[in-house]
Order: sequence, then C-alpha cells, then structure tokens
Amino acid sequence: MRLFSITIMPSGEKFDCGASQNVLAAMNKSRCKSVASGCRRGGCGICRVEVIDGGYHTLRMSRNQISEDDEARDICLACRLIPESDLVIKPIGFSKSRRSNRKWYNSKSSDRTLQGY
Amino acid sequence: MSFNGVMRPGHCCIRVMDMGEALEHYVERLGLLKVHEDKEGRVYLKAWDEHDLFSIVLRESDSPGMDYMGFKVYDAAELERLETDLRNYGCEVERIVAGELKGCGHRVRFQIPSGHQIELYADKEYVGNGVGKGLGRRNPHPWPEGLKGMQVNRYDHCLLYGPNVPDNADLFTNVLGFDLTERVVAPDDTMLVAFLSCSNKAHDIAFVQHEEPNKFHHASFLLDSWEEILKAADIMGMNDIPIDIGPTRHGITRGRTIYFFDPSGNRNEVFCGDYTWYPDREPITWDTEHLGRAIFYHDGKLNENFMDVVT
Repeated sequence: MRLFSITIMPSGEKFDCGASQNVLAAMNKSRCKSVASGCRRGGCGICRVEVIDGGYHTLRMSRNQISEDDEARDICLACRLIPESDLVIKPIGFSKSRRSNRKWYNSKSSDRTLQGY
Repeated sequence: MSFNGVMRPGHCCIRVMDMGEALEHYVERLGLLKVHEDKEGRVYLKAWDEHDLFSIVLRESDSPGMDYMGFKVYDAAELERLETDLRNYGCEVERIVAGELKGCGHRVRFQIPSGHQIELYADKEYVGNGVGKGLGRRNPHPWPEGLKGMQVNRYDHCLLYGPNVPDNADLFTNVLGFDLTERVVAPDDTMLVAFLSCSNKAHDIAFVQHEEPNKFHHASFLLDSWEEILKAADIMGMNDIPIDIGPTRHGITRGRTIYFFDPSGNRNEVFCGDYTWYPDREPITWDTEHLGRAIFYHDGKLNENFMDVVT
C-alpha cells in the first residue's frame, strides 16, 4: 500500500497514512493523539481539521458540521479525509457554534466548578 | 406512570447519510427487520419482539441526527385529552394525518423546551412478533429463528441533549404523566440531567443539559442478558463498528451497556438489566461531583466523548 506522511501542526508530529485510509484511523494506529476521535463516521464533528498543504479527497460528511464554506477553506473531518499526497493538517475541533457550548461538567479537575448553571 | 396514558416509546426517525450503509448496520448487525419502504424513500424497521408495524424509521439526509421521537398512548380518547392538555400548557401542537407514516394513525407533534420534536399517537398496525400463528398470539414460541446480528429485542429509549432540562422534566411529568426516576443536580439544585419513565422501566426518555438545542445522543435497544451484550461487542469487532465505550455498567439505571456508532455517526446503545420502576418510588439524585460514576460506574471517570459527541 502506498503510504503518505501526515504532519500535524503546530506540534510537527508525523505519522503514515495509506492511500485509501482515513487520516483519523491512521493517527489512532500511531502514537499521535492530537486530533480528537468521536463517532469516526463523519457525523459528530469533533475531529475537524484544516488541511494546510497537500492533495486529498473527502468521504461524505455531515453538512451540519462541515459547511460548503468550510469545504472551500479546506476544513474537513479527519475521519473522512483521504490523502492523495503528503499532508499538513491542523486540528481545530468543533465548529464555532459547537464550541460555544458551555460545559457544565469538568472532567479534568477535582474542583468541579459549574460554569453558570 | 399509568399504562392508560402514554405507554412507551413507539418510534424514532433517525437521519442517515447513506441508506445502503445504514441498512447494513441496522438490519444485518443490530438485527432489526425491514418492514417497509415508502415513496419518499424512508425505510421502516422493527425489532422482532415489537408487535406494531415499525419502530425505527430511517430517512436519508445530508446530516445525521433525530427528526422526531414518537410515543404510543393507550387510546384515541387519551390522545385527544393529551392534545388538549399540551395546548393548555402552551405547546404549539401540529396534527399529522393518519398514514403519513405507513400503518400509523394520526400523530400529535409538539416541540419540547430542549428543541426536540416529540409525537404522540394511539394507533399503529398490529403485526405481532413472528413467534407463531395468529400474529404470535396463539401457542407462541419463545423467539423466532433466523434473526441476524445482535438480535435486539426492542427499541427501548432515547437520550437527547439540549437546553432547559428542568422545563422538559416539568412537561413530561405534569402534562404527559411520566415519573422522574433519576436526576443529576448542581450544588444549587439545578437539574442538569433527567431520566423519565412512563412505564415500569427505569427510563423511557432522558435529557442532558447542552446549549445547542435538538441534539441526538443515542437510541437504545434492549437485549436479554450480559452475555448477549458481550456477543454484540464481538459483532462490533468483527465488522469494524466504532465502539464508544463498553461493555460496562451505568450508575444511573444500573443498566449493563455498550455504546457504538452507526455509519453516519449516530450513537446506538444495546443494554440489559436496568431496575424495575414503580410510581411510589422516590427519584434518585446524583450530585455533579459523582457524575463520572453516575454515568459509567466502575472507574468513576467522566468520559468527555460521552458528554460532547452528539449528532
């Protein structure tokens, strides 16, 4: 299988991805965990990335998560991103509307301060 | 709870991005039975141990998620009473004509404070559960042969994400006759999670606080045993179905569970073994500092994907 090199910005982490493999699945087989994994089927939008450089195509993605405007700006879901050359990508997470969801829980800290509820 | 009012979740319309892939998942892997495809291309499915024509409706769309969830009520008089009560409560109510969904009587649709579309209906074509003659009503076998995949027994409940959880709970308890079985509360007692039952089950619908309205967390299907959940997980492994978490145990409902995703990213659950609810019980309250254990009991860690990933 032909392998392409995927570079994650800004960390510079690299992993290989097959020519018919999606970038998220390839990343999850490597040690790199820089892009968040959710549904892994193009629906939830947590693995949004911007393709900074390289050729690619995408499989079907939820229009609620990736607008036509996003696509025009090379924003896509890593779980639906198939490389056609080496790629440089940047994880950007949920779209703006999703990111604005205030978290009422706090999973990382023992100080479980509630934010506004 | 009253079996003379709202009885159970009766259907759920799920949006999928590719019908062929969705049918492979829901029919070949979960084991739902395809019963109809209408002229708009919607595909109707049922689990074997349901007696009405369909429970899951799949609609092809460019975005996954849930269109609406429907509850069956006891009879036409009860449907009329509930429609009036909903209007008096201030809900905008839409009537959908009989037959808009094949085999289903007229539906009363309204939007709840979390932004979801909920329906009530009283009639759906009775087809039985396929375990013998007379639509399975005469000298039945315990289960039908030839089921596929996980062989789910029934569509059981949904968990929905959106704002205004306390308002949803008020509507479901005070208008629709549900009981609040469990809740998660903030230190100031604000309800952030509500589990609600219209039956003897620990939940028929549940809501989690989320700012974006009308989000779909999962549709759940009942299995008989922990062993069947293990085998369901095996089927996920064999077919490269992305697993979210499990098999494990919930604190809330005490259900044994595994979560996974359909080919459009909608979350599904197969579960068994929650407790039996009675309406004279007091609801269980979980404090947010115990949220991790409330959701997945064993390690007590909060799973961020479970809190964030929705369609």
